[in-house]
Amino acid sequence: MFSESWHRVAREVVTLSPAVNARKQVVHGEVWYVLHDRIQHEFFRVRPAAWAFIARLRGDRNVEEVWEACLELYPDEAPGQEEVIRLLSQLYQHNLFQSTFAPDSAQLFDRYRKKKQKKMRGQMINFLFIHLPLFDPNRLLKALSPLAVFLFSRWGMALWSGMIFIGLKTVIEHFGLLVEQSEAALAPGNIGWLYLCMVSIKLFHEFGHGLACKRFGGEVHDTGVMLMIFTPLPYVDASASWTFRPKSHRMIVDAAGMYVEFFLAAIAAVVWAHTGNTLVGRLAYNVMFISSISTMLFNLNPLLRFDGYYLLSDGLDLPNLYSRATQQLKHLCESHLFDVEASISPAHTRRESFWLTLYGVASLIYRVFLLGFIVYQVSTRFLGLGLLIAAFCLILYFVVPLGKFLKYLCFSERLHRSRKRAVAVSAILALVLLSGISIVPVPRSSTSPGILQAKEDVQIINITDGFVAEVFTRSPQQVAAGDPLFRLQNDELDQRIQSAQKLLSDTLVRLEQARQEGTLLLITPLQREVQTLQYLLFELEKRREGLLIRAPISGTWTSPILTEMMGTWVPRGTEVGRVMELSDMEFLAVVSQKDAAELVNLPEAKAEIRFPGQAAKVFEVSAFEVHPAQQQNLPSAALGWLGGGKIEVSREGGEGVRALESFFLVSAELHQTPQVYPYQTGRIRFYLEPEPFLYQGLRKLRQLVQNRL
Amino acid sequence: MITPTQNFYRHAVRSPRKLSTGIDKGVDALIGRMKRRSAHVRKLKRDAQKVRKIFDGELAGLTREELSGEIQKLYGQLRGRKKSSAALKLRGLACAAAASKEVLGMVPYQEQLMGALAVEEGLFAEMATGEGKTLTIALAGIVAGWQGQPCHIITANDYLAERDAETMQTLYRFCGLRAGHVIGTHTPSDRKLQYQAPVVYTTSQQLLADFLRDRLSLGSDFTPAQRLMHALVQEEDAPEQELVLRGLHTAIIDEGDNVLIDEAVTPLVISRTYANAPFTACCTIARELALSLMQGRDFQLDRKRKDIRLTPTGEEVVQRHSHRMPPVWRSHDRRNELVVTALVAEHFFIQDTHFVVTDEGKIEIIDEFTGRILPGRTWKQGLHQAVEAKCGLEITDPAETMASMSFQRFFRMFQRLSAFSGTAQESAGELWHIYRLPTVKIPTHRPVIRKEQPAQTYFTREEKFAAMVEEAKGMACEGRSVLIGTRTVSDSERLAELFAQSKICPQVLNAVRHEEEAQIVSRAGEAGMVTIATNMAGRGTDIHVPEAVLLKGGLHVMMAECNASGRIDRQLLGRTGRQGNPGTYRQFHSLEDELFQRFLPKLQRARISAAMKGGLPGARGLLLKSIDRAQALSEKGGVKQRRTVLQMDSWLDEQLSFTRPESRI
Repeated sequence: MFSESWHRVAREVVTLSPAVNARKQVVHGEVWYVLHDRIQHEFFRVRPAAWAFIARLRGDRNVEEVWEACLELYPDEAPGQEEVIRLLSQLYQHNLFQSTFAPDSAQLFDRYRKKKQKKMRGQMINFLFIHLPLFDPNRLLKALSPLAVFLFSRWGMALWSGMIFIGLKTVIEHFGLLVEQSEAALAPGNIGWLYLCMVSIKLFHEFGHGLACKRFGGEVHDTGVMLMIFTPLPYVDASASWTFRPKSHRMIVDAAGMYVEFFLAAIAAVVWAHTGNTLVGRLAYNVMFISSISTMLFNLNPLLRFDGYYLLSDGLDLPNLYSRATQQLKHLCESHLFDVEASISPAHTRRESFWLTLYGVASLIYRVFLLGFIVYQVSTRFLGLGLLIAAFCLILYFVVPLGKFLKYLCFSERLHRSRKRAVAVSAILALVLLSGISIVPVPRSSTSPGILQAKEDVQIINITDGFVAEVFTRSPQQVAAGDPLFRLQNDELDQRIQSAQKLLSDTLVRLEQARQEGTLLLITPLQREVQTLQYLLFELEKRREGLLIRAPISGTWTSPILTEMMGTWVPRGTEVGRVMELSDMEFLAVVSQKDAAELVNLPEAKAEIRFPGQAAKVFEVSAFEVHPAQQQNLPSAALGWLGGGKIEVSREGGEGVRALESFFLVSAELHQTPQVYPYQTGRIRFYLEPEPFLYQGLRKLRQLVQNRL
Repeated sequence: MITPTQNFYRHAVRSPRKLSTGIDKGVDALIGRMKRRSAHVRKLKRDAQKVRKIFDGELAGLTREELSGEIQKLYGQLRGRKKSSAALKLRGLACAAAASKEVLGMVPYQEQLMGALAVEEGLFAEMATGEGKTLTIALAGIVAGWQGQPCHIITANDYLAERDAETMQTLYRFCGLRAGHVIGTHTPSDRKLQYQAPVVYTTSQQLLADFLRDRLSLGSDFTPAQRLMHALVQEEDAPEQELVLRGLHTAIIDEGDNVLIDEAVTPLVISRTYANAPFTACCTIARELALSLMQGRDFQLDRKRKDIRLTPTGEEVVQRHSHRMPPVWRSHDRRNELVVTALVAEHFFIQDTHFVVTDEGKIEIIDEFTGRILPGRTWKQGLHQAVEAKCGLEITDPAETMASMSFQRFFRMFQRLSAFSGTAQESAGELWHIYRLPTVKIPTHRPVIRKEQPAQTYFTREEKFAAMVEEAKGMACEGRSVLIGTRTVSDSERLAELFAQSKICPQVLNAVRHEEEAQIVSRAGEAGMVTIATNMAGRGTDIHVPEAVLLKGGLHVMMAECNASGRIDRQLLGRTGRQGNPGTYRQFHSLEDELFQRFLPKLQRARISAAMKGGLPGARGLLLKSIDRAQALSEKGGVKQRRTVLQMDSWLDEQLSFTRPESRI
């Protein structure tokens, strides 16, 4: 009630600065007053009792007189001296009031400097989200205000709904094509276009917020570039919407960006459907892709601090959701684990407490995973610098909070009654966590790409050229060894055989004559000639035999080209088809050196294979074998980059099978024969020996560093 | 007639330097360590030798008149100079020393000269008790007085201020100066007269209170520049006459650790009372309510932190009775605050330990560090009334703060600060951090032959007291003099009672019987005399021990209990064996001692108690060890408390920077 410092404020005459507006806001049946300084864009929220005091500061009475008047009017609720001092100093820190005398300028400058420093430090720490203000969009938005009125009117919404309907219809009609093109969207060549589209869409998105804010009477004075994870993107500051009294207005401003984006997506869908694979079509596809998928993934996600977060926060009437949720977690931890009696929940009602806890836990888990993901991605993507950034992230988001927590644990005044318990609980939790990650083995696996091959796989190559005359067995079909597959016809060969036969018989006759005539001189050359001709004939006959092609092994006969080649000339040495034993197949996996090293020691490891398109089906591996030598050439170009696979291959020569890093081949036997054709690429997952999480992490880190050095 | 420049300097104070934080603080502490290294003592020694040379050389043969003339010349040379040459100052000190020899017949030792030089260097000089600090400070005061800037010598209490000013007056007079002194009983006009003197002996409370009152009277024309403008523009400048102080420039602090550290915990407050009937009525109701509450069920009590908290059941009880309170006090927070305050008064504020009740039915607060009454001081609003309600006294009107300032801030406003104490090493870091005073240890003139007798330990307080009485009797019969130091007034009275059965009639010196202080102290050294005193007899008390007693072994000091700070213990023990005289001391401890109860965990206390009961060989050592520990903990708590005061100070400054500068005092 009484304060020792009362004399310092008692005789001050202060008033709210003229730029400050106050609005009443009802949150969950509780009345608040929001003070808003239009010039400096500062907000402050007070309870009615405090507002009753502030409202009476009109410059005609000093603080003490106003306080006494309040005390007389509301003896129960009027703030005490301590509270008045706190209130005044908070208002002052927010620059919301002015005094009748010149303020302490040194102090003011000091505050300004500190504020700037804090902002700078905030930017440094938030280096993944740096804001660079560029210009004041107020006039532009003013000029666009008719559009804003229309956009958020009944007619505008009707237009929007219609457009979204058309867009959805188009998408459903062209769904197959849509899926087909989706792979191309993330192809390296498209990234530049994608980014360009992203910037323009986000510009629309941001101006959507700005227009909505303007539409409901908010002021928008800040537009610029935000460097989100070093990627420049536009932003518009529409935080003036925080003062809007109706919840619905605030939510409309929050959703306005997505509203605009979905509209763009619908237009883009129609454009794409009508342009096909032209540049315009591809761009439209990009626009559609970003403004639907990425918006769903990022903007709508309430765990990231984008639109979804603000929507949720306004929808639940829980301003400052994130920080209050964090406070709530801290409170729960303090009151339940550390037994701090003085801990006060930031929630006013049970409902608030429920939501804050839920959000707090969800966002904590999400953040841990996001941090892990970002650190991993950044450190594997960029050389050197990436590791540095990852280390910085770790320090910032892990080491610093840990340090703060330790400081809190050791020195915080809040814990003075229950420090021992707090330390004990924390130590136990830390121990459980540490032993959890360093003792309890966690299943571990590694995946590698590979290709399915039949063990017995014979290429059918014609040794004699000829026209395809007859096909005995259509492909694909099961054949037994020796079954004729197809026949070629080569009339020239026949003629050559005939002429050779004729020549042979002629020569034989001449040889007989020479014997009888006793012209010994002739006999030997003729005998040679006969031999030559016989050999020739033998060769030709063999070639003629080659015209009838038989299955060399029993298996499935496939030939993708044969039926089309009926009657065409097939040059000698053409691969016409294959005969493969489909019931006996193996999977050839391309395994990196580090994984192979472990596999050699684990011949009994479990493994399974999945194929794209049949992801739900898992094929178990009965045994596998690591080929003992390092390889450089992939078993199929389909595994390499150029063939759409994941393995980096050399671009020069080698038809895209020469891998940049040498690897080991592992052949795996499958338990059951899959209903898949050979040459299907897939991924094999080896279940390695379970290992505690800590060791796994350390190994990954070591490998990462080794790879980089 | 005051010239504008003089007027300017009257109000100009240095704004306190910002304290370093974080890494800067660490670096600053290192610098502090550098400044404390022994090289500084060696430099002081060299300078002292130079002074000695002048003193023994050219000044040795001078007659009284010649010396007087020399001093006149020096005064003229030093006066008004902001920075005089070092040689001139050395010469000045030599002259002052010569004057001391001439007037008082005391030739300063080299160590005393070193101490006086430390003032010039702005150091915190640690001089052992009984090394003649009074003369040292007077010499330094003379040199500072010659320079013409206002020089304030801060003593530990009124008694010392008056005594020192009077004993040194002749010396000051001979040097062409005057020593003023300001004590609590002086009227404003007396004060003004006294403050006009070139050198003023006073206490920190008096000085700061006068400073604040001056500030209040200045009103809104606060800064010297503003005042100068007003003086130039306006014809008359009436408030000029009301100012009491001459300005702040040099401060020499005796018992510096007491002033700068122990007393710095509570800021000085200037207040006025105002009528608040509902509030005073409420205090009685709150007390009744508080008495109806049960410890454990209704509230929880934390002795170590002096903290009380209501449990939900307790809050319910208060709520049920809240209708009896005036409406203003009925709200949840306020009624609980009142009841908690009443409980705090009930459990933590004990008559004759923390306060005494005067014959007029007023409460007088006792300074825990010095054992002296702090006249006119009140606790904060609410608490004071709660204590009055507790003692069944008439409840006084609450006092409203008009101005307040912490000593930490005040002493940083001086241009030149220096201090003396017998006990400073323990707080060297803090002294540097806050006041930028490097601590140097001045060697003793003669080796100390004071002897410690092994400490005694007992279970209960009564056992301890009985043993102490026995020992004191024995010593007294031997013809030695005995000084018993207690922590509280009630302990001293209790001990005196125990003596009543014997032949010996002890003198008692405590906050209740402080009028005869000078007389008691002057007799304390007599053969067979037993003096029981609270910490009052610690600082600055010079007990003269006659030759006959010295031959028998000198003064025997018995310490009845450990104090919150080791420095206070050392002060008490330093009453004996002064200036190389013989003397002995012994400490007495019991398991019931307050320090023990407050700072050691229950478990440890139980263990020690069991060990002592079982007569285990290490029990005594264990007890002594844990006393050291408790004292360390207590000192640590003190450091923290002072840091909080300081932080609050600057935090408030920052938070309330919208207020007028003049209200910021």
